[in-house]
This record gives sequence, C-alpha cells and structure tokens, in this order.
Amino acid sequence: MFAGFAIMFLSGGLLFWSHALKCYQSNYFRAKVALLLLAGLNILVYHLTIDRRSEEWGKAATPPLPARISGFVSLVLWFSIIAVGRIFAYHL
Amino acid sequence: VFWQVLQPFVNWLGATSLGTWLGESTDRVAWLFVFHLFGLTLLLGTTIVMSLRLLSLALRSYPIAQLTRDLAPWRTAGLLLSLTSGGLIFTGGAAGYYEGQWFRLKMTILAVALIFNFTFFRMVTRADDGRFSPLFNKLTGCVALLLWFGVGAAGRAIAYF
Repeated sequence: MFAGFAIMFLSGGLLFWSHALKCYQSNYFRAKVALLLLAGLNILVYHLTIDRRSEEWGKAATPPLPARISGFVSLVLWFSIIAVGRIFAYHL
Repeated sequence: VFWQVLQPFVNWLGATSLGTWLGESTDRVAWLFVFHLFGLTLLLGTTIVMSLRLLSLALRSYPIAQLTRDLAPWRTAGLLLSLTSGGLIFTGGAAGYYEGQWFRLKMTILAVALIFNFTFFRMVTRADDGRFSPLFNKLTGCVALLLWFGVGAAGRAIAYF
C-alpha cells in the first residue's frame, strides 16, 4: 500500500507541476484535493478510534458499525476521486 | 490480415446510431471513461491482491483459494464493467481507434491476458495451498501482473500517441 501511495504521490506531483497554475485554478482539481484530504482524514479517524480496539473484533465476520462506516466512506471517497480526476482532464 | 478481416465490422459499428450518438459528445465519452476506470480499479485491485498472495508478498496467512472466492464477485464486476465501458468507448470512435498501433497492441495483450486469466490464473488461484509448487505460483502471479499492467499501459498510450 505504501508503494502505491508513493507512486501516486510522485507521479501526481509531477503531473501537477507540469501545469501547476492551470491545475490550481481549476475547481475540479480543488475538489479532487479536498476529497483526497477527506480520505486521509477518514483513515486517520479510523486508526485513532475503532482500530485501536481491533483485537476485540478483528476476527469477527462483521466488524462493528464504526469500522464499516469507515470502509464505506473510504470506498465512496476513492471512487469519487477517480471520477473527479478523470472529468478534470476534459476541462483542463 | 487478421485486422483487415474485422475492418468491415468496425466500420459498421462506428456508423450505427449508437456509435454516432456516443461519438458526438465529449461528455458521454468522459463518463464512459469514468466507469472504465471504476471497472479497472476493481479488476486490477483484486488481481494485484491475488498476485501478491501468489508471490507470498501479502496476506500470507490467508489461503489463496479462499481469497479468490472472497474477491470473485468484485473481480467479475470489474471485468464486466471494464469490458462494457471499453466496448462502448470503442463504438463511439471505432474506425479511429481501430487503426491505432497502441490500440491493436492493447487488444493483443488483452486477449493474451484473458486467455491466461481463464486458464492458468484461474487454476492456480482456485487450488488448495500446496497443490502447485511455490515457484509455479510465483510465476503465475508475475505473469498476471505483467499482462494486466501491460494492458493498462498500452491503453494509456492510445490517448497520447
């Protein structure tokens, strides 16, 4: 997972650099960055709260509701990031 | 010769009302690409997890056959979504895509990847642990990753060259 993050971060950073001003002024780009930050916030909250007690539920077939909410929010955010990123390319 | 045989079908497909309807709107194609990416996220994501397991680089305590069963619905959904959206994108610009070298390369690798998927990869990822040698598992994982990343890379090149 860290490998994936590193590749995305580096290549995405370089893509941004190549059209920095145009990207920065685009609402699609801003929405994408906001969604990325939300995804980071979601996983931070997860690790600081329900994940702390994962020994208690880690082997359960159905994790507790807060963990399932984290998972659902994560999926929605990441798929939105893909959609916004793709549409963004058509408005650059 | 093979590519020439399909040319009349491609010309017909691009000229259908669906083909012209899709081709005349950038927005429609843009949304098809979004769904194409959703599909390939599911397909590649699950393929990477299964291949890393075959390479014993991840989820080592999880039996491969169980992992395959758990991921199967998502992987199938990803494959169907990629193929459907990809087919529609192609329909919206059939003749143009068809003559591209990168498009042809992508379709060639895709054909190999699909054949590999439904033969070796399917057999190895459904087998109980220990049925095949670790080397054979690793080889299968490597080839699967190379093929699917090859499809992705060639696909990306279509847009630029």
